[in-house]
Amino acid sequence: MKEIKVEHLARVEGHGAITVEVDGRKVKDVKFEVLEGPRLFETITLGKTPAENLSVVPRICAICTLSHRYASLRGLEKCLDIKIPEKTHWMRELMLAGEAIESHSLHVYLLALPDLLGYPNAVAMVTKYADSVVQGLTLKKFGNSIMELCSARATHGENPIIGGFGKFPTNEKLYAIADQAKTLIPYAEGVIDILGNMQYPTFFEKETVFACCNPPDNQYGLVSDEIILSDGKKFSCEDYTKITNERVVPHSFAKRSLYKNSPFSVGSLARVNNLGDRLQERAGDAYEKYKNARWKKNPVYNNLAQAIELLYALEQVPVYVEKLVELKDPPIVKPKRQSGKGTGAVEAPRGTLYHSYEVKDGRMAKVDIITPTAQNYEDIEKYLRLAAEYMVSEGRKDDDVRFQLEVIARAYDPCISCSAHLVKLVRK
Amino acid sequence: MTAKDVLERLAEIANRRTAFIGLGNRDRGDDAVGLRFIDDLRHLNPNYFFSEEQGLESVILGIINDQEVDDVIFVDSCDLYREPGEYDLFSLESVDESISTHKVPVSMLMALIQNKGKNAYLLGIQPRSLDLNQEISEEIIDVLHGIEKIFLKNLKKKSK
Repeated sequence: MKEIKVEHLARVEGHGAITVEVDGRKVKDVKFEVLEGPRLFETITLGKTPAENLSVVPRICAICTLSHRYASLRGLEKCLDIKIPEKTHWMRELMLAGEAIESHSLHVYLLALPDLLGYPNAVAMVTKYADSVVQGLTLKKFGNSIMELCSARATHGENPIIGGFGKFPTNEKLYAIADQAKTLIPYAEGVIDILGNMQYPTFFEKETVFACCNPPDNQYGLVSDEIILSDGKKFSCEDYTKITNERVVPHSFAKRSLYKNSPFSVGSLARVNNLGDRLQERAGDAYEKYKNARWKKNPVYNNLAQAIELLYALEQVPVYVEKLVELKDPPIVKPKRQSGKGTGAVEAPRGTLYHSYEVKDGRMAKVDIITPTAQNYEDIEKYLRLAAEYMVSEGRKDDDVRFQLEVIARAYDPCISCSAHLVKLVRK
Repeated sequence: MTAKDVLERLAEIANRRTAFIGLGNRDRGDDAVGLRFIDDLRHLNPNYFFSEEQGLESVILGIINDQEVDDVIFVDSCDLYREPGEYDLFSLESVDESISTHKVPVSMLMALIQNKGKNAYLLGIQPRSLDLNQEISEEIIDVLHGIEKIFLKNLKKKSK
């Protein structure tokens, strides 16, 4: 018996390992271990005010900071019975689009492309694909600029507050980002074509269930109080525990989620699989051009799904700006009550993010936060097992096994720090 | 390289048109050494001293299109497996980096800079402590001041 280990999964956030126990040409066990220590955010804010909670919980993640803030706002505003004005809604949509552009451009151009183009690392890729790297940096910078405009800082901005925004940007600044978004659309279309025309490995393919927010009015989007699953079921986000069913496994600090006792996936691929028919304009064209049945069973297509969403987000920026410039800056809405319960769900770049709260007499009484990566762990482990079983049965070299497993895990763009880190391949 | 070799090499680089980028985290003790280097020397020419806090992608996109820059030095605390305060200058080939999904890899940025015809280096300083909410260690500050003298001397000479 031997173990094939990937001691530290590179190009993911946090410390994780993959361990594959092998006996001859048979896989005995595959473990996706999260080695990051528990971060205890859900207890830090107990007894604090909702406003204090809102400032603390986005610190869970430096890249999905605005998704956390938005999900927190949605949960808290339900607790406090706050209905936000239309302009506040569109500003929050804009900030989420900015975050999607920033996060997806980083992952697609700078972290996933080396895997998919067959380079051992990003440095090796630069010689031939320097222009793609520059495009990725340009898009990331643009996403950051939107986040900064909406939240007052590129990371952990405090401008989005309970009931509204501290300050709205000027129309001049809004028009400037709308114009820039239009000029960057060809970059996204270019990377979609690179990813859409690639050959992807098939040996670990298996159908799974996908979950994501189900925006109203048959729209594609990143926010909703309803969750839709690829099996046709729909749930109120208040019933999120019926989907997530969290449990603890001995080999991981992160909790795991199972839907109907089976793994499921959230993220760009889930959204594009569940809602892709709703995409319009050029993102809709890209979806129609490249969609295929293998998207439902191969997680590596998540990279292409992220690229399509990058295009979607760029196209949405001018749409949101047009709505924002027509509306007057609204005052901040005050709470109607000091006690209540509520759950906020938004689509972070890596998938559905839940913030569920109870407020009693103006103080946080219950906090439950479920991150996308925590929901994806079981499905990641499932695909790692399928891939390992095939490759080990074929007698592939350990280094090849390690590399392919890392490619699968990285396709999920996992954020291990947020969920509580990835691959050890150990032959025993 | 020995400390003397590094200082001589830095003096040589400082005589050319060099941009500096400080990396690190101000909340983690000696990890702020790269940022402190920029804080201390930015007054010499704000157009050539940058910090990670300004947004790395913005800084890099500016530098690769700047015809006035020949060399780029990233300054950061690095685990060199040496004594605290020891330092070394590395080229891209020597940088083996743990990459995260939350940051653009520095090695990729160095590769991009080289692809655009410029030289990229990493000046790594061995930290004493990376503990949260700590100031930079005094011994690391002393070492930093020693390195800064090289640039102060050469850059001032150049501006005369």
